[in-house]
Amino acid sequence: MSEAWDLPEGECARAHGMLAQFVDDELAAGQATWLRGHLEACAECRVLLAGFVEIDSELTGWGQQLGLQNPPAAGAREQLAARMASIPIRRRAVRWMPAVAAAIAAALVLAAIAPPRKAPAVNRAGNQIDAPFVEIPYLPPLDPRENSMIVRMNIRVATLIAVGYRVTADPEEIVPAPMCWWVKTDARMRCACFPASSGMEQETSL
Amino acid sequence: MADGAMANLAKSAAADQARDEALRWFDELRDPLRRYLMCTGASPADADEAVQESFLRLYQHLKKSGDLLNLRGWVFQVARNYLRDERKSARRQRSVPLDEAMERDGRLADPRGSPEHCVLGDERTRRLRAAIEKLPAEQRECMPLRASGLRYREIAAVLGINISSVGALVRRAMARLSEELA
Repeated sequence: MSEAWDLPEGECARAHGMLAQFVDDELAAGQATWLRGHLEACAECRVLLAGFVEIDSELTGWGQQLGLQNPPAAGAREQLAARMASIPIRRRAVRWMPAVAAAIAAALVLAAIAPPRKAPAVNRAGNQIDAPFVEIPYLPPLDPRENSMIVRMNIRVATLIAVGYRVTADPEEIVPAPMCWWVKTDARMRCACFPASSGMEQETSL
Repeated sequence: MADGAMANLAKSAAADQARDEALRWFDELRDPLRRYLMCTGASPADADEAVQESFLRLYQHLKKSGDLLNLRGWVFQVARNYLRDERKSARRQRSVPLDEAMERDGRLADPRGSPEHCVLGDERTRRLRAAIEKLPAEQRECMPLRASGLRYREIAAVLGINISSVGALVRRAMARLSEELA
């Protein structure tokens, strides 16, 4: 018999590879038909299959016998369900302290890695610009006729002075100012600022 | 606050779903898993404990939305690893290695002894187990899985190899067993 187990060649090798699934009746119909045909023609493979089935039956019989003679403890399912129920579900808790600590840490890190402040810029008129004007990326309007909008913004007085407005307020003061933004035909964005305290208006371009 | 309440509600629902799913797997796999563990030499009590632990871990795995692929193989591997770790542990030694179990069976002569003894007293079964012990590791692993009642396709899933590899392993193992038992 051992010769039949060893050195499979050609069709026999193919047959040997199918035995496990054949025993489980899980071969595709075509493969099963082919294997039956081969077994009819090949005595060695028939011997092999018989040996395979015999040992396989002993194995499965052994396991079944063990299971039958050692039945599971009664109430195992209920015990399992109770143990599952005893595992607490993690509730979502508000954790202010970690959040605050994380925010402080982030602020410290940002402060440490922030680039040094640049020297103050100077505008065309030679005035120092303490705070940069508003940086707005250029976005082409959807419709050339709808290319303006008025936005109320908080502007530092120093900034207004820097771009040429004559404002008498404290330069450090921040004042609300309606600003009109529009795009002219040269596609550059411009804005006009109307500080409430000055009553003036002046156009500037970005 | 409302978000927290909703999240807790969702977690409760997920836990319920995981419990139902784990119990469904328990109903399906408990018996083959016990047989497998006993075939590897575990006592019935150890097998029961390993089964409980395995399905508890499955419940937690499902609750955490763990990987759902090949859960059958996952459960068998968890049980096998649990038993192995328990055997390694010096605190408990209720699990009995296969050779020790076989030796013990030889000493027990009372037919009214444990049910396991009745099985192991069978000469042919003892020879089969002895022959399995002599197999190379990867062939030996297939045998208790088959004895547990799994199909070869399922054994392939448990071992994480393809069906043709299982077929080759089993064929070689069967050849050796056949020679040993002849």
